[in-house]
Amino acid sequence: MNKGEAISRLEQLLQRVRLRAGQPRTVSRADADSVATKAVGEPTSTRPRMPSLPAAAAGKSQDLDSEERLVAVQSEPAEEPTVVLVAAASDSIPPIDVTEVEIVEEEEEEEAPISSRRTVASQPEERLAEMAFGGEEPRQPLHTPPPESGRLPAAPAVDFDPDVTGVRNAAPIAEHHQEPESRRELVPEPVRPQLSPNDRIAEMIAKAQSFAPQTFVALLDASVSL
Amino acid sequence: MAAPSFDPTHAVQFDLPHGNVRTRRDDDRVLLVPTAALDELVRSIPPPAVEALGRALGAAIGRRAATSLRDPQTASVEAFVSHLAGEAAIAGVGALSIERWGRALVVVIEDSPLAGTLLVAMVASAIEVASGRRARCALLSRDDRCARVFVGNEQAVDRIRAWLASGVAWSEAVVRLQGGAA
Repeated sequence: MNKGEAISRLEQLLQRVRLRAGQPRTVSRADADSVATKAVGEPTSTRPRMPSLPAAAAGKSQDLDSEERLVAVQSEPAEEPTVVLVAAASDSIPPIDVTEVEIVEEEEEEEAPISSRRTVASQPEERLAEMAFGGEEPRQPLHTPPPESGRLPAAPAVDFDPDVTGVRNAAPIAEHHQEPESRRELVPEPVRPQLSPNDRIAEMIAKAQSFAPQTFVALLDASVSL
Repeated sequence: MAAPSFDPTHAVQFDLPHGNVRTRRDDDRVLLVPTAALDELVRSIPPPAVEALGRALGAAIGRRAATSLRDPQTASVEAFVSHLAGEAAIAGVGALSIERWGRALVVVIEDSPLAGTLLVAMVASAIEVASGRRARCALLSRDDRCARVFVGNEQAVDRIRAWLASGVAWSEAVVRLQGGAA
């Protein structure tokens, strides 16, 4: 089937839906439930339905046209207008190729735990009611409210028996405190150089003057020569 | 040859019957004069006379020391000083010793009854006579117990006296004389 044929079939289907939209609804409740169950209970699939499937369900209902319309109306409340078509086999209606039809099933949201801060999303029916008749009073969030500001009441005094609690045998708290800065004693850490004796430090340039006269006359001559 | 040690045995001979006192070595006649009289004499005579008196006293000591040394030119410092001090002690001028300040010779006399000016002349003459060398002396210091006399030439003595007169300490003057710090 090419695109042109598909478009023409879809236009025929749309025209038929429009014509039957003005007719009174004569579908039975059982048939509607069966069709709705079939549309909602089946898993979401993008695979096209084969033409043989409507033939299997042909014996269950005689009014397949109403069933198609009911299914289409039930899927309208979704945010995205998704048209779910369940084509039922009929001798008078040619089989419809629904390769382009997508069946979308909304995932059920998990109910949030009580301790969660997530707001509990309202159910689709509740949302519809809120849209139709206005919203009710907002629900209180399901989490612990913050503490009120201001002074807190004092804790009640509790008497302990020291014989039981061991407080009497405990060391005084003052002994565990650190001493103040002024009383702290500082211990010097000396760093001394490592010097080894060495006889090459001094350099002798000449012999020291030595005057040792052998005779008194020599001493006298030296003193007189000054 | 080593100089003989000083021997004071019979250094002074008292001839009581004749009333004289003589020294044994040179047979000189000596006179025991009270120091008070000597001091009076020194104060009453002019300085050249005092110097002459001192030199006469020193010459006698030096001569006797040289006699006991036998060869004073070759005598050691210790031997020379020992004989000179021995003769000075016999004469009663005090305890003589020497100090060597570098190359400078300083004679020290302790407990001397003589005045400073008389001591300087006596020391110079004793050394000259005992050693045979010419020497000049300058009084470095004098107190109740000790007197120090520098022995040198005439120019050195004049410089020492000038420094002492300008207030320089005698030890500093001796150092300066040998080229020390001015």
